[in-house]
Amino acid sequence: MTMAKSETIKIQDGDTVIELTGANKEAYLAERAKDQAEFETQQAQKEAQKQTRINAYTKLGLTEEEINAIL
Amino acid sequence: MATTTPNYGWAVPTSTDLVKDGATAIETLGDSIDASMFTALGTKKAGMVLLNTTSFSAVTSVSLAASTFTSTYDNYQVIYKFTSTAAGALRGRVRLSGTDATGANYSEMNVTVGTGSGPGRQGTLNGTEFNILNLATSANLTLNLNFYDIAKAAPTSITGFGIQHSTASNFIGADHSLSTAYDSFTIYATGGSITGAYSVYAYNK
Repeated sequence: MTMAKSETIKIQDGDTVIELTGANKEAYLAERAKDQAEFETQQAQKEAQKQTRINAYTKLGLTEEEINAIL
Repeated sequence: MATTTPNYGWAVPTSTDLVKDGATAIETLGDSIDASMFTALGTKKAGMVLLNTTSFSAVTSVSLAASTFTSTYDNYQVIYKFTSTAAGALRGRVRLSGTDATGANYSEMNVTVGTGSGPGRQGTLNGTEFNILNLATSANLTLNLNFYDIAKAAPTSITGFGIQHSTASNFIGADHSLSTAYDSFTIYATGGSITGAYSVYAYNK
C-alpha cells in the first residue's frame, strides 16, 4: 500500500475538505496501515486454507484440472 | 370554437371564441391540469430522486454528508466518477454521525474482469471494511453502488458495478451485518488521491 507522500493528506466529509498534517496525518496513515495489515492477514489465511484443500484433494488422487474446477 | 391541447387534451378557447363563462373555463382547465399532474406525479412518481451532487479534488477519502441516507427512502444509488493518481485498493465503510463503522462486519463477494485476464474473485467474510475494487494507476473509474436498507435498523446490502476505462470491470456484491441504521458512506483510496464527483439518488417509494 502506498499513500500520498506529500506533507498533507486531504479527506472530504460532505462539502468539507479537511487537510491532515503532522500528528493527525500520521494517525490517519497508521489507521490505514492497520487496515491493510488486517486485510493481508485475512488474505494469507484464505490462501493457507486454499492450499490445505489443494493438498487434501491431491491426496485423494484428483488431477490439477479437477482441483481447479472445484476451487 | 374551443379546442384541446395536443398532448393531454385540455380544453382551451380559440381566439375567435365569444368571451363568456370565463371562470368556468378556467376552472375546467385547472381541473384538467390538476388531473394530469396527479397522474404524472401522484400515481407515477419519478423513479429516482437526485439528492445531491458533490465534487472532490485530490483527496484520499470521501464521505457522503451526514444524514445523506434517511428513513425517507429504503434504497439509494451513488454514482462515483473519478480519476486516481496511483494504484491501490478502493475500500469503503458505512458511516453514522460522522464516524465510520470499523467493526468486523463487512463481507464482499466480488468479481473482476480485465482486458486480458479474469474473471478473478475477491471474497471477504467479516472484514473491517469493504474491499470495493483495485484501482489501476491513473484509473478513470465510474462506479455505481446501490445501498439497500442502509438507513434502517437492519443489515445493509450493497450491489454495484465499476468500470475502469480500458482496464477492468468490477462486479460488486457486499453486505454489512449489523442491524444498524447508517446515514452515510465513505470510500478511501489506499494509493494516492482521487478527483471527481459523486451523485446520490434515492429510489422513490
